[in-house]
Amino acid sequence: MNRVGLKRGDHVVLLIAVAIAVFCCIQIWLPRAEGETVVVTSPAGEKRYALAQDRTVTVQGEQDIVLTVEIVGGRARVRESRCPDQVCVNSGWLSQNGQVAACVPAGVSVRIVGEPVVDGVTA
Amino acid sequence: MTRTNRLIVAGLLSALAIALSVLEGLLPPLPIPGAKLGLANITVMFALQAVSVPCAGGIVLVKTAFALFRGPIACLMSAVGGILSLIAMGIARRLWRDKLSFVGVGVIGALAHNIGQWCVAYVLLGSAMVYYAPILLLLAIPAGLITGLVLNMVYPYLQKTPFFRKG
Repeated sequence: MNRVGLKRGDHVVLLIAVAIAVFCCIQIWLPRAEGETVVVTSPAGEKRYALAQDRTVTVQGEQDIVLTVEIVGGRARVRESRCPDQVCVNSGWLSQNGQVAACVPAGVSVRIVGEPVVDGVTA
Repeated sequence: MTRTNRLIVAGLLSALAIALSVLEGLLPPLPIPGAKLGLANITVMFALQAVSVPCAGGIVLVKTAFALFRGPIACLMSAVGGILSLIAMGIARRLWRDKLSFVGVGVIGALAHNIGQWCVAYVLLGSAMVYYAPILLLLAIPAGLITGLVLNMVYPYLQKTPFFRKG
């Protein structure tokens, strides 16, 4: 036993953990294509908005949680949420394919996809 | 340890788990969404090692009940994460009791905890959560490492206390 008490098995676990971490880092920070569409999923259903068009959307989630989603200059974020956790707000700006900000208590997610807006929410 | 002693210790450790959760909530939030250190897991690991599996399970239950204050979803995530983590740590301890310190157990437990949480989120929110999976997995590793190191360093001193001397 050394000073911090690591044992042989710990080294194996840590080695596997490092491998998982490297894989995760690649998944997280691998540059992705810039997205085109913001998909907002809420208890009311799914709505799609073009990233190219600035707008502010109010989303009603479960448990009286109201979220304000903002699309500005080709990026989107959850600007405000009445949820105490603020996980979605802290997710920051989203612009690349696959990026997501989610509020689990509200049942709301905001994610970026590559395909352009198809169902009537343009203009 | 008598039955009564075990019950008292389980109660004390549960109280400590909640105190640690509250303490963690007072720390400035980490810049990463959803990141938590999971300090309360220190008590669960201690219970697994020094008391018994049911005692550790009891702490997880109390912790879960306490999470109800943060809403039913938080409670559900805490429950699934906590139970999965307990199972993983229990199996790890049983299989490699002499080969793992708290660091190895902690990392395994933290990974299992976040996998459990992610599963709840996935069921509730669907495919949007796929992108979030590597973030949660990645965050589990330093969390498990830090809590494990804390217990690794504190445990030898705890063993000198009357709690251990009586056996």
